[in-house]
Amino acid sequence: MAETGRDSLLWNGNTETPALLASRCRDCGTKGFPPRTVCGQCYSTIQERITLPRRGTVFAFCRLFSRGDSYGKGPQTVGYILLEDGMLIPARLLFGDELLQIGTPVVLSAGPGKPPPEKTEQQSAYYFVPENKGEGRWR
Amino acid sequence: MEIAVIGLGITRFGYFPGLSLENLAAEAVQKALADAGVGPAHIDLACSANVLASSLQQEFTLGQKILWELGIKKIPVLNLENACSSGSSAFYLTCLAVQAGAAEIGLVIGTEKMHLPGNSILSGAATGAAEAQAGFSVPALFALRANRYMHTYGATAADLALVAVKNRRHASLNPLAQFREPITTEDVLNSTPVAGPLTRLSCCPLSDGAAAVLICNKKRAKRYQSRPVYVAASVLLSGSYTNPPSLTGWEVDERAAAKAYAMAGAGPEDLDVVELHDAFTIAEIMHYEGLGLAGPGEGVRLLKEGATSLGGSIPVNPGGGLLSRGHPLAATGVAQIAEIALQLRGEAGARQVPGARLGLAHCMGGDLQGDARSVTVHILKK
Repeated sequence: MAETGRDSLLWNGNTETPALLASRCRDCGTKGFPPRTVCGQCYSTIQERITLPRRGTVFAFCRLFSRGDSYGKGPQTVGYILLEDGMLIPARLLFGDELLQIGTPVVLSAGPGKPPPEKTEQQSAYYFVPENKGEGRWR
Repeated sequence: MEIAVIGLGITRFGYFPGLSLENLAAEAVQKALADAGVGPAHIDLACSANVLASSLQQEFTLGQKILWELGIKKIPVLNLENACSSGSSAFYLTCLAVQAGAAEIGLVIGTEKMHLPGNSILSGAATGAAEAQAGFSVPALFALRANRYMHTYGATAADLALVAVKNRRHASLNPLAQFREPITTEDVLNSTPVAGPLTRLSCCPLSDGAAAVLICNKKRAKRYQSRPVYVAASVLLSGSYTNPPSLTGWEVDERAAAKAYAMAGAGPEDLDVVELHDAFTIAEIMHYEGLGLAGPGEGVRLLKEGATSLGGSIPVNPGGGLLSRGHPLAATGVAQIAEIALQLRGEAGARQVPGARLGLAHCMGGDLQGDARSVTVHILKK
């Protein structure tokens, strides 16, 4: 029985060199994120583990004011990132407002994740930041 | 299909802390029985839709509890969850059962109580692993689509707000709607921000409520109802989950609509009235396009021309939509079908679409990989 769908299966957990984990079908080449055990196109069960490109562009974004399963106080920014290989993935964004627009180049980064529940360790999490770090205010 | 709608009942939608799920459902079912002129003993199959009671109230097999209240027993009872399209999926399933001859009269019930502690429907509860990791909420999924739609087609936040204004105007004519006080574009834009560009008035409310319909084989419909409404198409489909997904539409809408139009032998141009899934303002515009009421990127124009307002060429959400009638999740899909049936019977009162003969009810449930998990399309005819 294969495990799927867990946070730890979404990325390598390495804050220095973060990478998103995905699957690629050996039979038809279709990629899956999160990684899959059965191909969504051809149903093949021969799926190899790959990492996705670290770079992409903002495809859509929004400021989230309601508190959901969030990263703490204050509005959060979330978006869909169009990666260099054409995969579109949901992700958290750490951005200054002035940089935030559709088409902005971004790169995968990682740091502290959601505030941990009591008596549990702080986990790290991945997010995307602007590729050009020299500009704008960060949040 | 060989199915007719012979009875319908809807409760007022809103905030009813003193009423239980069974109270709400019983009122809807009793209204439907009275409408069809049949007694509880005539029901020989029932399908009950509900989304939240299992997680919020530790309920299960709610349908049997509802029916017990009404004295209905010894029949096949099904309990169904399909997110926001639970009620319309229950209708779909009951149509199949009656068409197959498994029952003479089938009862469809949609019931929901959302004003309860621990309701996390708007948080990440209803999304996938990667969306939850990113901190997505349900409004975020729609705000992101709004962002992409506005970028692609040049629509504005004020354009989107017109959906909420229109549906509130319609709801002002519906005595069962949760919100009936008219609102303006400024009210929508200036209400509490939820997920940019969506504000509180751009999002459907939390609601309690229930709806029920009775169906039978169309050959026997006139035994029970002098003005039966016939089911011309009943479609339920799931997403294709291909990557990259389209954020400016849901391809399931198009597949479900095409299948329904083929079943009904009709097209979007033949429709007189539509109820569709306006959980958020942007959704109504994108569903215009998915159902073929407008071409890609033409939804805002259709709205601004007034075509989808009462009095327009194709009124959409005459009952007030999810935005203003309210959205008790599993009740919605049943209430939409009941609203279309009322319209085709000519009994919709102040919100009646004159001479309506063909109507469509569309419902969408859940998001997975940027695609809809389920879409239902029902076409009803006079």
